[in-house]
Amino acid sequence: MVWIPCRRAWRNPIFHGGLAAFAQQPMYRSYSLNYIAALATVLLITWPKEGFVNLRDLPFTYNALGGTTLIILAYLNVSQGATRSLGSRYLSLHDWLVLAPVPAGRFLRGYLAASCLELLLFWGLSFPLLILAAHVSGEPLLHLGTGMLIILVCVGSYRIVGVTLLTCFERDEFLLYILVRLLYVFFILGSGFVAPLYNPVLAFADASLWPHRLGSVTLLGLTLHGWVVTVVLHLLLGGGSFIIALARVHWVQRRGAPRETREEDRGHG
Amino acid sequence: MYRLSLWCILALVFGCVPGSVVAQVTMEARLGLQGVLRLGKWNVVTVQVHNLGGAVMGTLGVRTWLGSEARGDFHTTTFTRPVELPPGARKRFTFAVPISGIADPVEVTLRTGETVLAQQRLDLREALHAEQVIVGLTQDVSLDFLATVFTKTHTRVVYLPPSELPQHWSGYDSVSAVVVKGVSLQALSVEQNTALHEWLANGGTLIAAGDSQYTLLTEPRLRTLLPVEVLGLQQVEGLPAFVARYDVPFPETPMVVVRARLTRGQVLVGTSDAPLLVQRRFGKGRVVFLAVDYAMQPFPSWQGRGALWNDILQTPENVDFARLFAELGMLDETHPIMKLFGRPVLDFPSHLTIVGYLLLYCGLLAVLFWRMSKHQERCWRYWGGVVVVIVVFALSALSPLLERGLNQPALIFDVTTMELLSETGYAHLQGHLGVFSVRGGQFDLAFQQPETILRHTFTRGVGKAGKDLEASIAGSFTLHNIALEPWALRVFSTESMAPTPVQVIVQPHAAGLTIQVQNRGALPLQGATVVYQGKIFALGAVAPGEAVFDDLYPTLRNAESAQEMTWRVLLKRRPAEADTRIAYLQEVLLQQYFGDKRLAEASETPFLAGWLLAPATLVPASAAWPAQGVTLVVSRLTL
Repeated sequence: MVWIPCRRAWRNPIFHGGLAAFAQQPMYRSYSLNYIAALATVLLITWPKEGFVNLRDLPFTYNALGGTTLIILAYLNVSQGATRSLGSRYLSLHDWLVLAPVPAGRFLRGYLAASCLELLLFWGLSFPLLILAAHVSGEPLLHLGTGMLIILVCVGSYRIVGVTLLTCFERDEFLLYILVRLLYVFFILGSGFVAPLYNPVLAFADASLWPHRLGSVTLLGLTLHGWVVTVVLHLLLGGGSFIIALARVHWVQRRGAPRETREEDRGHG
Repeated sequence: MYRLSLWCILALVFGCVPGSVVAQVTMEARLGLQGVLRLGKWNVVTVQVHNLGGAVMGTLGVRTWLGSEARGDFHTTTFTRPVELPPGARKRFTFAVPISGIADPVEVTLRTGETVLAQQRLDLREALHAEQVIVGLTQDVSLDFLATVFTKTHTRVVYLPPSELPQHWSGYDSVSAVVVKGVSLQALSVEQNTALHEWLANGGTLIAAGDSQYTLLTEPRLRTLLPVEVLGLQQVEGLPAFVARYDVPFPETPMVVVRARLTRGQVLVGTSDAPLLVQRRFGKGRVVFLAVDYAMQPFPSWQGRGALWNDILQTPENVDFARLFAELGMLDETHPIMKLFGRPVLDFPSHLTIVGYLLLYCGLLAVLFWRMSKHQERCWRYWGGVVVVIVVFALSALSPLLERGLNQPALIFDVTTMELLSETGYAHLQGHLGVFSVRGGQFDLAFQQPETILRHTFTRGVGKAGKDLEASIAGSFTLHNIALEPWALRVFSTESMAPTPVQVIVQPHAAGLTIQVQNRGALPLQGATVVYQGKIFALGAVAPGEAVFDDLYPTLRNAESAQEMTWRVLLKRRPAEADTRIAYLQEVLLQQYFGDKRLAEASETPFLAGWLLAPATLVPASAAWPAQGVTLVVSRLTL
């Protein structure tokens, strides 16, 4: 079952091209080193004093590192999602669709999969450090697994939101710039006050030993942990954004085809 | 109409309940020794159950409230034991339970499963309270005057038949003294006799008074305890020795006293050949022999009997501030477990190790990325390398750098001081236990001694602790239902008595001491050391079943360390252990036992100190929650 989407992605020409470009681009490498250095610094700062158990405070290392990972990755994925990652930055979506004549769905899936390679790299790089932090904070592997899932789902949905913004506002770079930052501030900071169940950092802490600040939600007689609701909401956000992006690509593709025909006619004329 | 419906409903309800459950068992519970209680101590609760119906298999529980709301350590403890009641059975059960205040009643419940068969609430406000309880094992009620002798200490006298004496030493916790006169101890069961000995060894006072039936004093059980050999009766004219001691005239009328001869101990009144009042130490307690029948005239009218009984009972008239502070929770922060948590008891990888790990991780990634930029055509190979690096570092973080202590359900510490009570055959164990839960959960503690007393418990940490403890006293003592939220610590102080695992015999000689240390236990006694006249004599390890003899000559040792703190000196001489964390357990135990006493002060009476490198209060081998612990063995050597 898992193999089928992977095989499909592998056969997707857009993903194939994106994969090759990702492997060659030096930008990701420098980003990853900076990212690891930032996480390592946080880990070292919050590493507990050797062997002491502080009875008055809960261990901080795991949540500090998880929170930092989320804060960095959320920004990286909203902003990088909204940046043209494949080909030249002067190449618009319309140009892409002209150059790669594939169905809109296939194009978007391939583009998103290629774009998410960066997300997977960063997510994987933080894994060993999060294990260290979890152990030193007394967090069981179940909590660690939940935390990694929260990071992956939340950050993945932000990537899709970024790509959706790109497809919608690619011509107005200023608006795109402002929207990306506003959304980021809302996701990471504002939601904590307005809609705590939507905040990924709170969800990460909720899935740890720390007191469950998000509480639980009862839905159709089923009691869900706060972090589960956060994951579900982010899945909905990602899904919704994907549908918007798909509609936009369809629209561009449909609008672009007659225009192309007209241009061809004009050329012949 | 409504009334009729109500009666119908009630009839229906009772009709549905199985017949064996309704009023088939009658239960009567009584508080204390004949209703007398001593607050702050463990008191006896006696429950009589009569089964009028079919066979019943159930659980009998006694619930008490302890702690204070203000301190935040208010909790209940339910002492439970299984009960089997055949049809028509009438059984008596005794519990020893802690009672610290009168606000909340003691609840006695008999249940099978979830069904309550009988329940009784004992109102503590109706009980008879006392600060000193004296048990009289006598044929008469001639000790009543003791209630008026002690003006500052509210005293009550309880007369018990021998059959009602406690079966376990914890039942004597509220008792200050036992007076035996004209009653045979031979009638006691083995358990009762052991309980009496253990209580005596732990600080109780047994008074054997003269009586016309003097032969009772020569019976084996009493004879082994008495400081004298009873020879018979003799008639005397007055008691000039009492007059001399208490400076109160005694009528010179003929009276009968018990004739005896001193065998051990100290004569307080009389001579060693004709002792009238003698005492001997029995562990921390005392056995007193009074040659006179205090109930016979002219003794009851003698003005000096108050002073005499003060001499016999040696009741402390001062307020025990140490105990008071402990009850108020003011000494909680100095509890050994709290001190232990001030030390690095965990084994995290150090900052240096983490720096090395991170540098290696970042360095390897940097090298791979650099190679990737140099050899674009082979970049896939390097990306594979990146994946391998991530996997390898994740695996190394999973195992070699794992802190074991934090990655188990609970950290359980047991630091115990075992005081060998010389010449009694018993050891007094004072346990300091800590259960620290990292991730929260419910825990059980199994104790080695079936009669363990929980003196004090409190909680610390971020998480909260459950307020309902359950102590199962069936055969072994197990504490259930210790519920802890994540990052919460529950601390217990316990006391228990056990047969001594180490026998110490000491003989003084002209230049020093000859000592024999015999280890009868299953664990080696490590780092055995004798401290005498401010000097240290190392005996080394004594293996199980082995005995060590040594001659100690204090004059041959220098006394340069006599002004050092005793705990510091003994810590330096502890057996070398691979696990350095054991040293922290040893340090807190030594500090707790010796305080700030210098070696010269602490060794006025010579003592032996050694280590059992295992828990002595808790059962150590529980795979789910292994307890870390050490036991400090101390024996005061009587010369």
